[in-house]
Amino acid sequence: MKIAHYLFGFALAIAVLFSCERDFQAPPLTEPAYTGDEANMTIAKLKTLYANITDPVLIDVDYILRAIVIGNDISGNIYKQIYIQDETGGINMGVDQNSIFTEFRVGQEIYVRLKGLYMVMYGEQLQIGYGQTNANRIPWEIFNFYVHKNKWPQAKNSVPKTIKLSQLDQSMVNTLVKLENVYFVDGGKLPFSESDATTNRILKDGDGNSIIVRNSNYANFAADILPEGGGTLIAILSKYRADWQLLIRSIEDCQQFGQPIPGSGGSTPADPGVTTYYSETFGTADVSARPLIADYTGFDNKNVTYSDASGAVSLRTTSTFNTPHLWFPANRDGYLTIEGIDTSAGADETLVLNYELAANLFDAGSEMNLNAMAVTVDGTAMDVPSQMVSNANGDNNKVYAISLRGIPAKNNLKIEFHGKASDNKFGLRLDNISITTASDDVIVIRPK
Amino acid sequence: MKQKLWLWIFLCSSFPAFAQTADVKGRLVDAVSENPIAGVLVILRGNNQTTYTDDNGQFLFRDVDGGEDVLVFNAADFHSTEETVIIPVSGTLDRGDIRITRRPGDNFQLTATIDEIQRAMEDDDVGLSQDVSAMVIFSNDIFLKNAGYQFSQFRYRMRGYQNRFEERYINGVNFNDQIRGVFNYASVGALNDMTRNGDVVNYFAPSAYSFGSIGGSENINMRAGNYTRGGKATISLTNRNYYARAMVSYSTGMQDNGWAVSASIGGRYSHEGNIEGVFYRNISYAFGLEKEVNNHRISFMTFGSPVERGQQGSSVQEVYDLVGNNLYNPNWGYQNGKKRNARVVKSYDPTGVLSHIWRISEYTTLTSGVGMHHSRYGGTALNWYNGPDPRPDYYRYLPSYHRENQTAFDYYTYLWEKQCGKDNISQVNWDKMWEANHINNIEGSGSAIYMVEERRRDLFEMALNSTLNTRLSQRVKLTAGIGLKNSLSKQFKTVDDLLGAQYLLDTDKFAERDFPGDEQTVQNDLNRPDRRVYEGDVFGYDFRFRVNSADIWFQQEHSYRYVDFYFGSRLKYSEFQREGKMRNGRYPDSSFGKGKTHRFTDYALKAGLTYKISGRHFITGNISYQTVAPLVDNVYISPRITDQAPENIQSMRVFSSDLNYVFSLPNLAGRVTLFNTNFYDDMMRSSYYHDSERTFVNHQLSGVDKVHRGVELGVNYKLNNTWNFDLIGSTAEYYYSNNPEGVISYENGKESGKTETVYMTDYYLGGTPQTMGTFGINFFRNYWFLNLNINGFGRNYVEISPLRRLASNYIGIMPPEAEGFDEDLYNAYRILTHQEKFKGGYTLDLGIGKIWYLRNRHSVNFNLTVNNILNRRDIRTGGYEQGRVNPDYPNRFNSKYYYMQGINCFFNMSYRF
Repeated sequence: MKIAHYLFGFALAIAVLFSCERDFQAPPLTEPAYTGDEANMTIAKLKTLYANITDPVLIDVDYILRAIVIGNDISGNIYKQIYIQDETGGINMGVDQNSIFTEFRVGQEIYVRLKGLYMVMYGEQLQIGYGQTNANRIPWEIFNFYVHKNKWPQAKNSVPKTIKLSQLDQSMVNTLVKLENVYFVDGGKLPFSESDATTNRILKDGDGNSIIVRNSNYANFAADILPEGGGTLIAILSKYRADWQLLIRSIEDCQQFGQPIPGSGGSTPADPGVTTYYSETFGTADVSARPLIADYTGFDNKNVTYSDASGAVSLRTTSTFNTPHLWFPANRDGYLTIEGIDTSAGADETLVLNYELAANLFDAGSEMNLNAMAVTVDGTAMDVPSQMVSNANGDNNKVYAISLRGIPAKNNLKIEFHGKASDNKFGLRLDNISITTASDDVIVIRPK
Repeated sequence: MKQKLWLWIFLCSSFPAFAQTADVKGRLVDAVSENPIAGVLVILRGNNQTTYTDDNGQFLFRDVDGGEDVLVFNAADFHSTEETVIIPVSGTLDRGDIRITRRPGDNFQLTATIDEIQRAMEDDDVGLSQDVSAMVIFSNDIFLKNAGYQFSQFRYRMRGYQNRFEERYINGVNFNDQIRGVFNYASVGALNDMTRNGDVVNYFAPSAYSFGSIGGSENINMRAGNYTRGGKATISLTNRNYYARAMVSYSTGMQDNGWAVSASIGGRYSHEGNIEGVFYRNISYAFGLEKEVNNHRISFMTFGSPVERGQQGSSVQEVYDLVGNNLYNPNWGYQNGKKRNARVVKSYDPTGVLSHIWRISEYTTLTSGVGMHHSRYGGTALNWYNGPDPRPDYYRYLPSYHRENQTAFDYYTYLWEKQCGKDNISQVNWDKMWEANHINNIEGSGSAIYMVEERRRDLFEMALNSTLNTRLSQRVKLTAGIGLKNSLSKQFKTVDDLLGAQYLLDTDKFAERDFPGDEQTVQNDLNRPDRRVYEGDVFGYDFRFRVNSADIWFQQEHSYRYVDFYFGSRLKYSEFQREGKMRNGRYPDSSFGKGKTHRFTDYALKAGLTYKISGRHFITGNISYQTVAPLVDNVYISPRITDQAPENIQSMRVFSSDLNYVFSLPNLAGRVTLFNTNFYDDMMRSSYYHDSERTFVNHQLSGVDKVHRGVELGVNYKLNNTWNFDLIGSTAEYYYSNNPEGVISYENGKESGKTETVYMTDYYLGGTPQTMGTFGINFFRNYWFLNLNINGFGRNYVEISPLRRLASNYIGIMPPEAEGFDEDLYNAYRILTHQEKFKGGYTLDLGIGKIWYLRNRHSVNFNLTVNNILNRRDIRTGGYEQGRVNPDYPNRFNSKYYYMQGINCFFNMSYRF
């Protein structure tokens, strides 16, 4: 009987021990509050200060910006970037992190302590980034060190400015804009993006002014069909070199489409500027396995064929070239043969073939001529410009843009690039091939 | 046809039946208290007979050959004792009371240096489990009984076998589950007094309750009438996952009215154990009844050991070095100032066994049992939807990822090393997850970005076993049985904690990116699309496995003066089927409803021979061949979401043999063994999370061949009654011997059914030392016990990832002499395909104990064991390669490791009444 008592007591003790459920209290949600020094810099002024840089430059003054987040990666259309704006202008910041939007919503007020970050020139536009990192993105914890949230986010903090396509100016770069009475040229027909590569779509207004809307194939709306008819588009107005581009933040940025197409009353479209008949960027697929041309399926163009008789050319990315390009190994013949290009629509125009080349001059003392890459168009050898490049001049993997005139307008055009074993001493990288109408100032070769 | 054959064999081999023989009997008592000792295995070695003492301590051998023989007594908490007997040609030898010495301590087998939960180190994300051999019952084999305890801390597996080849029975009913094939040791946790006695079969030797298995069998005897009258209370303190344990048990023994009752209650606790963030709360109970009527004994036993515990995780060496702790646990973090573990296991396995023993005649017994087992098993884990990876040791959050930028590298190193403060990044940041969900409530959809899910793997199992033991003649024993088993496994996940979010949208986060705009494919359940789920709701996946099996077997043992032999055979039918409860958007046609039934018919044959050079020297050999149906868990390419499986699923084949020399001199006893086992056509599946594809990748292998071969040695030298010495060791090689085919499928549906050869030939099986030994010095005087062991271990390899052994990973990489050779890439190829071998070494263990007998025949005992007394913290006991491959960064996805705890103490005090 005594034993039964013991047992009972023991059972009771254990029951007491275990009866308290292990329940966690929700942490208090403290509204973020920035307590540091007030802002002493504006985005416009910052851009003026660093207007002439080429390489990333360390910001070594205690500048502090106060800005509002206007764009993030919520839909996947923007990747590893946030766009911020103050009263004077907008700028983007490269951040090495996914799903930044979970912490930096549109309408979030932030303070950026700039000292220690870098100003970076990309596509001839300034952005805030970091030195010696992949794509000059700011490592995440370093970003957290310099960027401080203030208050809870409020969408109404970011109000787009209504503008017209005919009135774009440099001060609007990377700001949030609203375009009324515009339409997608392929509205109702094509998706926002092709499934395998970032795709440019054309948006026009009633006056025939047009602009690129750049859509990532990773955006969650990439497969949606472009809205039909006229409507209002909210977007970040960005610029790459001389090209104006719009970036949609999420599908909610397309508003009230389905109206009659503006300007369809009969006015003729204005000159669209340079027209592109063929463009190949080699996509954005994962090429970590370094596929050969024959094995690669991520080309932008599906209706032309790509081949390489040598089997030596492979697709690669490097920290400088972070989307796929072609690698022509040193001292070997390598080919890129493109067949089936249709340029017949450009029959009345002067067409040029554009491509980008970089030589792998990694070792000190290495030098070679970029004309090691020969070009044949429909069996005719083209006159490629001579350009010596050397490690000593800082040409290691420096990109040169080359444009060749005299491209025929026809169906089934064949173009062949040939990296010559005899001249390609150190390896060549080939990227961004396009056939466009010639602008007035075609430069045959220039550093990019 | 077969029956006639048996009969013929019986007739030929059993003459002369029942010639002149003798009986041997005795009674086993505690050397001091003179209380009878029940449940002890008694072996009459020369006659090859075994029996158990009853609850009065008595044993009896009938019809044995006269002459000199050796009686061996073997039990967990007693010194094993041998004595030579001279058996008369006829009549009865009554040995009277045989006194044996109790040793202090507990059921060593289950409180070995790693407890039963750590035995199965499982990583749900990887689908790997690195189980250890666990022995509940004390073996009579000198090698096995030492290895089972001493080697388990090194995650040693007997002969390198998977745990599914170790069979566990309770009261004659099989308790290896049919899903993963293993016994759930957690179900008998903290019930050590109840699981003390039983019957061990070493490897594939003949057994009295089952056909057996190459990894050995144990039958835990939990019948109430099997326990001696009396009680025991135990308190233990330790520095393991729990720090306190308490147990009380009491048994009545078989009373005059034919009833026996036995009960035990216990518990283990820690708010935080030796490893940070790991807590432990467990209670256990057992209750048994037995009634004896004439020749029938009917018993019922029910027990359970509910537990809630925080889990340890493995990490990469970079992290261990940064925090300066090889037992770093990435699973926990502070929430509102309190430590919270993201991976909490809640399990409860109530079990009931009803059994019946019918002594049909003096020589024939029929044992039947029905077991029922319901397991509620759930493990929580973080999940996240379109948010940054919250795991602190994700590779992008480590300094090495930022190597190209010195400032970033230094800053990350600083943040990791400080390990405290607001910007600490070395643990899970719960507060940040709550904040992200809160912001999403204000300015977003309100659907959880971060949440805790509980992955459930519940099991309901019923088993029936019936075994007939009989003697066909004095020299021939026949054991035959049938088994039936039915299992239902329910696998699904539920919302455990939304961390402040309003709800969760039940779509696949991985498919969302790869099928943008595709409203169908992303659905987890097309029957209920875009469903909002709340805490407690089932989401993600939900399916059942149904497994049924039936088997019939026999084995026959013959003993003669110079030769013993046995043979046996088993026929087994099994079938399994998956049933989906959700129609998955990636597999709309193969996910919902009942799938194909897979059927298997398997057979097994075994035989063995013992040649008795003399009563003290034996040569034995065993050989077996069997086919084994694949485990349902290994067959499907992605069982959570589809019924798809490889086309030609077949049973694995196992060929096993060993040759032993066993000797038993007055001062020197031991065994030397050569063994070889070949596995053909095994199946396995591994998984990993591919962060750039944002999906789980499943890699299902079939046709895997393996070879396990080696040497075992166990020797005990008894200098005198005070000192004796053990030398135990094994060296072996366990390796893959072919290049099987593997099927890769992504759970987001992007890739499905891509088949490719996996180059695995000559890679070693990982996770267990292939060379292992110990030298033990044991001292006993005046009920003081001391022992010291030096353990040596080596040749332990990392568990290879089959995904790294595909040729397609390395296309474009040339060997040194070829055109286009790239040294970096070639080195990457070599790094990624190399199998790491862990450093070997040695450790020291010490044990000390004492028993005091009180005047009322009660006793108090204490014992303290200290393992790894040199406090070595750099001993890798296991690890696995990550599946992801990137030849540009060969060291980015490094292996994850498990380390042995440093100094490890277990103090035990018990009072026996």
